[in-house]
Amino acid sequence: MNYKKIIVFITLPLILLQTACKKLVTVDEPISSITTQEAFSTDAQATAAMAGVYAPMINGTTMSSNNVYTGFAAGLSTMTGGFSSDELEVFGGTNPLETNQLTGTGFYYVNVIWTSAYKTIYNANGVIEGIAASTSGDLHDSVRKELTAEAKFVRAFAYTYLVNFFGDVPLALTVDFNKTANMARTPAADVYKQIVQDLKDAQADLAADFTYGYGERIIPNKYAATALLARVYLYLGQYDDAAAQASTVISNTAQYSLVQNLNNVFLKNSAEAIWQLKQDSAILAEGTATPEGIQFLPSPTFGNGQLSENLSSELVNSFESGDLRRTDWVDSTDGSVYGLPAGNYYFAYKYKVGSPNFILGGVDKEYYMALRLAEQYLIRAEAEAKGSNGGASAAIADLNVLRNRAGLGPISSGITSDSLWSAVAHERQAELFCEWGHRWFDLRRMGLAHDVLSAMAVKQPWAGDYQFLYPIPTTEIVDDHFLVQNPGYH
Amino acid sequence: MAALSGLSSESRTLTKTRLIMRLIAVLPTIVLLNVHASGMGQSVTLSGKNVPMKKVLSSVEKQTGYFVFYDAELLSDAKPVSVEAKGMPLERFLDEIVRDQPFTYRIANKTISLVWRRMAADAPAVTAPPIVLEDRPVLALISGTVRGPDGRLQAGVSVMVKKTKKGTTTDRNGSFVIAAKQGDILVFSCIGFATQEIAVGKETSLGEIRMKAAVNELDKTVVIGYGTTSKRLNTGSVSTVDAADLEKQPVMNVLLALRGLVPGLVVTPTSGYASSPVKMLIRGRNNINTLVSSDPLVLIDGMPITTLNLDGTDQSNGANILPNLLRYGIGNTPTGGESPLFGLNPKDIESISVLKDADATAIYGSRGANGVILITTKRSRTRTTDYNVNVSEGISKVLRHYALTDVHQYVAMRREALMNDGYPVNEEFAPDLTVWDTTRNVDWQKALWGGTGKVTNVSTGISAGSGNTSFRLNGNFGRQTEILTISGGSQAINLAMSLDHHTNDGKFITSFSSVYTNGSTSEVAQSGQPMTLPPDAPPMYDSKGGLNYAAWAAAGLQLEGQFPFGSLLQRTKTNTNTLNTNLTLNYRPIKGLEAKVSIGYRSSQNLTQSTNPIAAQNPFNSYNPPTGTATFTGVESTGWIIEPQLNYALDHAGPGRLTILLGGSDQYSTSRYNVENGTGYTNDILLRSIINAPIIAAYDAYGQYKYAGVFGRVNYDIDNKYILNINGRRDGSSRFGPGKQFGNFGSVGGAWILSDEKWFQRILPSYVSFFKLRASYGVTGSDGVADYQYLTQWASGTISGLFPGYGGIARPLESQNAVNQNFHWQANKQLNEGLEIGFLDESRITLVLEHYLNSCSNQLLSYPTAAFTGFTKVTANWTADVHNEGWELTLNGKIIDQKDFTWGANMNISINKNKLASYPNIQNTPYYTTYLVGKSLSEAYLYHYLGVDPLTGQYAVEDMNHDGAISSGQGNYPPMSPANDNRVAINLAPKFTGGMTTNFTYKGMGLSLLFDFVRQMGKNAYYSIGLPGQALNNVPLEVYYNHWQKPGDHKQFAKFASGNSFNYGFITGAINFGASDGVYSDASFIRLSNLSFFYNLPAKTAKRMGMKGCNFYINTQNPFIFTKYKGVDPDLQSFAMPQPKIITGGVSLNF
Repeated sequence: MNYKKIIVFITLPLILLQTACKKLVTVDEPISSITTQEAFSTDAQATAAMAGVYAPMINGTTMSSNNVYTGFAAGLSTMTGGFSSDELEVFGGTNPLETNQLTGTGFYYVNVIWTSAYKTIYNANGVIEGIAASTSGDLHDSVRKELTAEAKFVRAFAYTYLVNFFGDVPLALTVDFNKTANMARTPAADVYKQIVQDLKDAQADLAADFTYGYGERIIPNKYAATALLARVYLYLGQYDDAAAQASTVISNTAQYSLVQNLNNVFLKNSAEAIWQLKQDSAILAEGTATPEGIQFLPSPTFGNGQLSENLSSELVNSFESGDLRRTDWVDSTDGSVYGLPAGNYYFAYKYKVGSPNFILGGVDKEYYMALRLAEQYLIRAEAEAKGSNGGASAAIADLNVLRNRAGLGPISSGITSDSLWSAVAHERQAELFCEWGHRWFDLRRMGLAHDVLSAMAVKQPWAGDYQFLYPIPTTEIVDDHFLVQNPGYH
Repeated sequence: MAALSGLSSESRTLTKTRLIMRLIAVLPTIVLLNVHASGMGQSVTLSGKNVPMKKVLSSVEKQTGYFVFYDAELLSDAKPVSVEAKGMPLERFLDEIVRDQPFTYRIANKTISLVWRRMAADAPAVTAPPIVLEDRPVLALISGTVRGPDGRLQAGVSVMVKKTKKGTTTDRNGSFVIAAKQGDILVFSCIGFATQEIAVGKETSLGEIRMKAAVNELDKTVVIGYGTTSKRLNTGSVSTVDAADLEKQPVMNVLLALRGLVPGLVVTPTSGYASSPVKMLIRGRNNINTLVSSDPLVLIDGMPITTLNLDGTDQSNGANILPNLLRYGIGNTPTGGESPLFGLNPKDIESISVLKDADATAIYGSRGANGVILITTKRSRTRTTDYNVNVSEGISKVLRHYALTDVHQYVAMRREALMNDGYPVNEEFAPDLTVWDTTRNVDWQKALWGGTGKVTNVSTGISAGSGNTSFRLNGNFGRQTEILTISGGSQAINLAMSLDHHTNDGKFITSFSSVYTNGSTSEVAQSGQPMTLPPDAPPMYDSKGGLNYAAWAAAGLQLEGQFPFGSLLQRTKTNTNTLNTNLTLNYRPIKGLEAKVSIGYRSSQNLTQSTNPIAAQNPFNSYNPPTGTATFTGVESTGWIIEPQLNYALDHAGPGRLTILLGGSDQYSTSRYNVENGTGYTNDILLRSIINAPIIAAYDAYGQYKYAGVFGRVNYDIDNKYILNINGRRDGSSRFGPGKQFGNFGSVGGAWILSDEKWFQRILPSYVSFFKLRASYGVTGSDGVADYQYLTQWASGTISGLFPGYGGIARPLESQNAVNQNFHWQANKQLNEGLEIGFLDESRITLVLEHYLNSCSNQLLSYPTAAFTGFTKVTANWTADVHNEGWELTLNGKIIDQKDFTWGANMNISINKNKLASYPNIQNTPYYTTYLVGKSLSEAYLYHYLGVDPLTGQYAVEDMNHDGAISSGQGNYPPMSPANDNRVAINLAPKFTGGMTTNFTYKGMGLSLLFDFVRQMGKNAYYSIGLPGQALNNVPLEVYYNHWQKPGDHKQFAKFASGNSFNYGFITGAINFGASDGVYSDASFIRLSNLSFFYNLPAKTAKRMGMKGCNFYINTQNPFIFTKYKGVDPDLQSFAMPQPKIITGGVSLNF
């Protein structure tokens, strides 16, 4: 007997126990979820993960409630943009969006725009990183390429809204919280650089047709990337690029054309649709209705579709007489139904399916239009008005295409450049009203916001032009002190 | 030990650490030396010429581990020895050395006794008949057998000659042999028994010695981790609550019975429902995240309840939800979930030990960070057959009422408010005054929770023992209905069993225990709020018995959620089955060595059914006719644990007694739940089954938890005077990612009983009978996060249902959690110092004073992140270091202890100071604007309320920074920053807590009172008043009597406002008031938490009636509370259903 033997005698079982311990603390994986590695092991799984990016954008994450207002891509951009600009009024009241009196304490729906857009970005980043990390042979190159491009497109799409609503925003390009938790705001110009890069990547790799949506226009393709790139270039003032990209879409007449009957523009897979988001008709409170359909179409009972906003007189009165968009896309109802003085209250009627007529679990008639051809004409017209492509005459020609469809006469070719500029702005207002906050962005972008908005009665007293950017949600600043609030908000 | 070496970072304890390190170095040597000695066995190596006999014998002792007893006289005649032995067998060696001596030797029980040769022939065998010794006092072998109070042979009793301090311990048969002289005093002592002294007479056999249970408070058994000790020898901080204190409390959750009994433990119910979860906090809050629980680890007979020590997961995030769900049940049940200990019968519990410092908890290593609660169930303690029937019946009532306005005051208030705002009193602006019947005057507190609950408890059991076997069987039925005026109740059925058996030779002992509990509840949520129900609000039900939606719709209140009583018909039923079993196999092959394996199994299943019938829904607010909803939930959690242990006790290892424990722990548990959610029911009758649901959504989840560790304890005790206790544990948990699974924990503790030192005895006054100092330092950990948090998880649904599909893909996958692979064990460093003093004989009065300093760093918690990172939280370790420092004082005494009359009292008080000691980079964390380094985590930063502006009648708070605006810094500045106006700091943690018990017995009667008290600040009833004068807003009476009416009034409460018009000043004023010190006030209380009285029928009378005993009793819970609190319940601090008082009477019969 010696000490060594004793030491071995004592320590050996401990070492054995230790080795066994590793096994003793290894558990099976959870059953109701799978790991990133598994999620990107096959084409089908990865496609499901990408569907997990699109679905919450329009549907939220639950089947049981009304998903309007759950995200920037579920009607919220339209709502907040509409209130903040001169399109929408709160029915029987006001809110700080409508009065442009937002404060530093924030506003719920503004916060939801932020969180939902970043959630979409996180999900897209998850797909991009998941595919890149996947070594599975069952995830094929063609699918890798397509899905990565789709994710980049969606990421660019979400950043486009963030940068326009909030200005400088943190540019999160990874799911690793260690890298993002203490980010500062990235200058808008750099965010735009990333948007352009993502869109170019997407443009290169996305399918040209509608294969991945099985013929439906619900998965962005090459032209969706092109159309968004056209918009981004326009916003950046790169008019030649904007016109070029718009032309690419417009000239693809085999896939895209203007729907002449205005009542059919927003139908699912309409020829005018470049990209639509598809709602899940099994959602209890929404069924076959789109977020805007359910929100705008009045219903004489409480609950969903209660008339909670109406079109402003500024908007209703802005239409030229005879504009078919006024007749087909605007409707009105009697206020006495809702306990207010009798009289007409106007509402947007682009979507025809809403509270009164949706079918739970039925076949959708309409999808939610995210990008459509008419905007491409307007982008090109604006770029041309700024001297690109064919210049003023080309701009007038493009505007007249839309005016023609709206039953209006052509703009005369001899107008001044100022008048042309106003005509572009007016045409954008009439064509794109109550769609995705276009008007709100246009007013600011085109330098009209101060004059138009500060004069409106409902917005008195005018709080100041700092209201053109929304305040960053306070909780975000609490959780990340490197974020600095937009100027003006206290 | 690696973990211990890291302790020196704590500068305060640096010197201590050095000492510890030295001890660490010394101790293994002692261990090895002894292993060496016993390993050598019975052989001796010695060579030398003319070696004195004394030296020879001490070599023998050293080399063999045997002990040599002899009379000094005997050695005086001994001749020096010349010997040449190398590995010589002991007996041969001894033969050799005694050859020429006047004495010879005997070996028994590893003891060598030297006896005169002339005596040797007559020396008794152990079982030999008694032999009468000669008159001359010489050393002889004295034998005997020791039995416990229950009559069982008792091993491990120390037998010592008082004068020489030499001794032995009884073997597994309870027998001992010791060398002693006539007239010597033998001292018999053992943990849990009263020490006995017996003089050696003429007979060499002492026959049977019966030990008595300890009467001395200090010698009572204390259950600690993997063993027992006594208060006298304990080195750690442990509080024990005995069965007697638990049995008399008529509560359905045994945790509630601990209130006021354990210093340093704060127990708070989450609501007044009997089955609701109960929060426990030992020695202050460790976590900076308020959502993370600091609940201690709870073990029932060695089986950890793993579902208890988890919290803080987000209900909205399915993948994280599992542990929380098992604890709280699915969704918003009226009770807010169910406590895992609901239904465990207090009568089945033998004792509850609360382990508080590292010395006590480090043996549970990784999970001891928040303290440990050991629940030990009862076993049979008798050798007779006892049959017991116990029946009690009682009632429960609301304890407190808070005065709100009655209908006249309400109407006056509303009229004044409408007039102030210039509105007419008509149907449009004041339906509550015009449509509703203002002759009604309902006290909604009475109407909602003024009912009388019924409390019933019936239990019966048998406890028996004969031969080698004893057992206990007990059944219990308990039922308690709520004080809600509508139905609701909880019920529990328990079956408890324990079985003990030992073989004839006492080598093999088997113990089994099993507790089965069935708990069921059927509850509806408290409907309506006394604060928001005007006294003239229409009845809950209409004349036909249906819900009175119509009366509310008539007043224009037909929107969803405006009718407050919908939940009356939304019933949630739960049924929980829990089985907790333990089997312990114990083998004692040789004296001092015990091999043991403990196997535990725990299983709990919970079924919950919640319905929202059509009848409960608003018929005035639906486009489509309402449909019914039913949710069926099943939650299952099972787990086993196997813990092999090796215990070795060496009575004479050098100068002291050495006890070594080595053990391993392997635990495995699985949890599963499934939810079936049925919607679109068109008829309420169909709600009973999921199959009738037109639309069904289902979801399930499953989690596994594995946990393994090795642990050891070395306890070294010199003369019961100096005690050193070292614990070490290495643990692995599956909750951590690869490479982070293992952690090391340990502690060092020591005690010094000064009263046993001669020099100290001289200093001590005579009335001090015991004086002990102890200290411990150690590191414990926590893995208290949800399973799988290190894994990326993609799923197609959450608890609230499946995600909507997209395109052709019905089940899109979405990432469920922010992933951090790097989180690891949390480490809590704990320093504890204690002083224990016993006064008077047998320490009739004891005082224990403790001081502790706990430091929790590397906190493992759910950490908030900005939403733009993808998720709003992530599981991670953070650098905040939270200190809890405190004092605990316990005073325990038998003030009067006479045959017919006894009076005992116990008092404890605890003070805890919580401090965020450091937080590097706090400016980059979400807590920058919430916490201040150096201040308590419980500090609330508030505006200073100035009263009502005498000119406007608006609430006014102080503009501390004089910038003309009231601002809390809006998340930009840290608390107390000059930029903020909320600079009144109020600490919401209790300043001190404590309890007081006092027991009187007179002949067969007894009375006991248990008080608990808390000194604290809390949120009062003004918090929810907002703007007084609004419709559907009742206010406390003092608001009505002390409100502003005209310019110049100096009042406490604002001008009445109707709420019909938007007045920015008034609204911000009300909001600021709600965030000011005006809504916080003293919420201290002294509660008589238990009052019980019993009467035992005289034994003779009982016997005549054929009984062994008969006991009548009255037990009351919470009969009184003394408080100045401005609200209903100072514990809950809200207008939710308060805790009731319970009064029961019963009889207990023993046959």
